[in-house]
Amino acid sequence: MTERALEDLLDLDRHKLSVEHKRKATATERWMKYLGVPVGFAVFLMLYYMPTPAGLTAGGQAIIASFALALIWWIAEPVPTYVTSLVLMTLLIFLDGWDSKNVLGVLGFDVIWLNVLAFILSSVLIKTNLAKRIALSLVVRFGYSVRPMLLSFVLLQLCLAPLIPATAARAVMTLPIMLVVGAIYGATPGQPNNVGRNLFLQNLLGINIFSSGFMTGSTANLIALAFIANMAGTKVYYTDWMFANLPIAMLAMFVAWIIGPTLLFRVRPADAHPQISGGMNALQEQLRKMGGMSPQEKKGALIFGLVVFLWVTDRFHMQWFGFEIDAVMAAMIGAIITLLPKIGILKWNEADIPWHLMIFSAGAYAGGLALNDSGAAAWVVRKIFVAFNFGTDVSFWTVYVIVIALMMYSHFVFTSKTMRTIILIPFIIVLAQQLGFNPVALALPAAFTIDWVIGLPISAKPNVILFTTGQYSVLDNLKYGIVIATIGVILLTVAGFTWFRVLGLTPAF
Amino acid sequence: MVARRLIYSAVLLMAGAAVSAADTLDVHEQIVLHESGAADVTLTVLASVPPGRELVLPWSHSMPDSIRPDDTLTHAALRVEHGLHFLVLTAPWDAERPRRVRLSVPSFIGWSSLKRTAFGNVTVEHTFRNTTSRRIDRYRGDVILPEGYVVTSVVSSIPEQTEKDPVAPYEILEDSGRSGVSIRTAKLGLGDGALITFRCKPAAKSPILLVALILAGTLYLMFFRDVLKENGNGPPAAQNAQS
Repeated sequence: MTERALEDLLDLDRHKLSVEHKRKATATERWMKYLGVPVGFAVFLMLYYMPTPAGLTAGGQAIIASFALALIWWIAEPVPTYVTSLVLMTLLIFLDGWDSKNVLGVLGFDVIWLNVLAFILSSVLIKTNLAKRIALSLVVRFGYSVRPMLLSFVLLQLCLAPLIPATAARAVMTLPIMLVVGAIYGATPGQPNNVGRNLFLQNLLGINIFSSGFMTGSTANLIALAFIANMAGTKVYYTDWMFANLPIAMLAMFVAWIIGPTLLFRVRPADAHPQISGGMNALQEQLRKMGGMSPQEKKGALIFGLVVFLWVTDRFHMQWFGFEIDAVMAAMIGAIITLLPKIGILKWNEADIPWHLMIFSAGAYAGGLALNDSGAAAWVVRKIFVAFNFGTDVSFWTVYVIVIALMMYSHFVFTSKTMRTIILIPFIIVLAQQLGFNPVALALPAAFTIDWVIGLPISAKPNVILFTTGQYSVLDNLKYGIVIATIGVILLTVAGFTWFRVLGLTPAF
Repeated sequence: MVARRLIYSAVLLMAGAAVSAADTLDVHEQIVLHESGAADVTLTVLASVPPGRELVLPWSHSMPDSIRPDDTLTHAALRVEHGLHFLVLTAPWDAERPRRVRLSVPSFIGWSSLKRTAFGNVTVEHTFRNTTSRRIDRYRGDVILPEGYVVTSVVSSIPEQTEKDPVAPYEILEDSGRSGVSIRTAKLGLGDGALITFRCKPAAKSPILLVALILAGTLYLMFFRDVLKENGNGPPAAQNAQS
C-alpha cells in the first residue's frame, strides 16, 4: 500500500455514513432475504386474522402482528431496514393499531434528535482530523495486534461509563475512533471484515453493559430502583449496585473479548495486525506527519470538550444553572457552535447525518411504543409468566433463572429499556411477593439485565448508531447478541448462587 | 335551640362516620350491552350494614324497566332524591355474603347516535360516581360489548395509569366470547368516581389483506428467485463470508 493509499484509507470523508453501502450477501443471507418476505407475511396473517385473544385489544393484536412482520424483515433484510420501518409505521396506522399523530410524532422524539446532533458532532471529530489523531495514537500504543487493540477499547468504555451516563453520547464519542482503527485493520464500510465485526460489536456491548455496572448508568436503572423502593420497601444504594453488578459486567466483557475473535467472528492470524504496508512504522510516521494540533483541531476539541463537560456534569446543572441541560440539549449547544459561520467548523453539507438511520429508528421506536401503549407488551409478558404456572411450592432458584432469562431475552422485542423496566420489574416484584420470596432477591438481579440491550440494531440508541457504519449485518448483531445474552444469563445465575449470596442479596439454599 | 340542633347533628355525623369507617362496601357492576342499545346491569355488593338498615347505592344510568333482586335480598328499588337516582337494597345483612341485583335498562346506549370514526370505531364511555355519603371501598365496573364487537383501544381512564403506578387500573375482558373492559378503583368518597373511555368496532376483518398478501408472497417467490443468485444485492452490511 502506498503512502497515498494509507492517507485515503484514513480519510473518513470517503466513507460517509449517510451513503448506503450495497454488497454481496452470503448464501444464508440470500436465502433469508428470499424467504423473509413470505415468512413475514405468513406470520403477520396468522397473528392478525386469529380471533382476538382474551385480554388483548384489537389494536394490540394488529400491533403485535405488524411488529412481528417488521422483526422478521429487520433480521432477514429482504428490504432495507428503513423501508421495513416505513412499512411498520404504515401498518400501525392502516390497521388501526396506533394513530398517525403518535406514529409520525416519533420522528420528533429526543432520541432521534440526539442521533442527529450526535452525528453532527461526530462529523466535527472527522473533519478536524481529531478522530484520526486519537485513533492513530491508540493504535500506535496498543494496536500492534487485534487483542490489545480490542482490550484498549474495553478499558476506554469502562472509563467513560460512570462519567457519561448517556449511552448514545458514548457511542458518538468513540465511533469516529472505531472507524479509523477499523480502517487501519482493513475494515471499511465498503469492505468490512471480522476485525471490524469484533471491534464494533464489542464496543456496542461495552457501551451498553458497562451502564449496568452503575446505578446511574441509565434512567431505566433508577426507575427499577424506585419500584424496588416503593413496592418492596428496600432502598438500594449506589455501592450496593456497583459491588454486585460491576464485576459481572466486567466478567462478561472479558468473556466477550476472549470468544469474540476466536469463536464468534474468527480473526485469521493474517488479519490480526494493521493491514497497511509498512505496518506500525507507517502509522507512527503518519502520526508524526500530523505534527502538532492545528487550530481547527483545537477548536474541534474545545467544542467537543464543552459538550462532554456538560454530559459529565449533568448532576451539578441544577446547582449551577437552576435547570438541567440534558444530553440532547448539550449536544444541541455543541451543534449550534459547530455550525455557526466563522466561529464554527462545519458547513451543513459537511455534516454526515445518515437520515435512513433516523427513519429506521423512528419505525423501531414507533413499534415499541405502540406495543407498550396498547398494553400488548404487558399482555405478552403476562401470558409468558402465566404459562410457567408457578405453584407456591416452586423453588426460588427455578423462578430466579426463569426471571433472569425472561428479562434478558425480552430486549429482543422491546425497543426501550424504560418500557421494559416499567412493564417487567413491577411484575417480578408482585410475583415474588405472591410466591413468598424476598422481592429484592428477584427484582434486583433482574434489574441488572436492563442495560444488556445487545441483540439487534433496534434494541438501543448506540446500537442504531453503530449499525450505520455498515461494519456488520443485522444477522451478525443477532448472533453476537444471542451468545452474549446467554452468557449473561449464565453469569447472573452463577452469581445468584455465589457472589450475590455472599452479598446477602440472594437466599441460602 | 339552634346550638342544641347543631350539637345533635354533629354527634349523629360522628356516629355515622364511626360506623362507616368500620364498615366495608365493595361494589361490582357488570354491564352487558346489546346491539339494540339495551343493557343488563348486574350489581353485586359485599357490604356490612347495621341490622334493619338499607343500603343506598348510586345509580347513574337511565331508568330500568325491571329490577330483579336475587334471593339474598328482600327488596330492591330505585329512589329519586334531588334529581339523583339511588338504588336502595334491603336484606338481612351479613358482611361475608355477596348480594346481587339485576336490572334491565331498555335504552342504555344509543349506538346509532354515536359518531363512527375511522375503521368503524365508536367511542364508549362508562362513568361511575359515588353520589352517596357512604364510602365505597372497592369498585369494579365491567362493560361487555354486544357479540361481534371488539375493544380497539382504551382511550383514557380514571384512575390513570402512570409511570409511578404502572399497574393498569383497567383490563380487557372476554366474557363468554364477548369482548369488554373492566375498570377498578378503591376508596370512593362522596363525589369520587371511576371512568373508562374506550373505542370499539365490529370484530369482522376484511379478507382483502389476506388475499393480497398471499398473492404478493406467492408472486415474490416466483419472480424474485434471482435474489438467491450470488450476484444479487445483499443487505447493506452483509458481505464478506465469515471465516
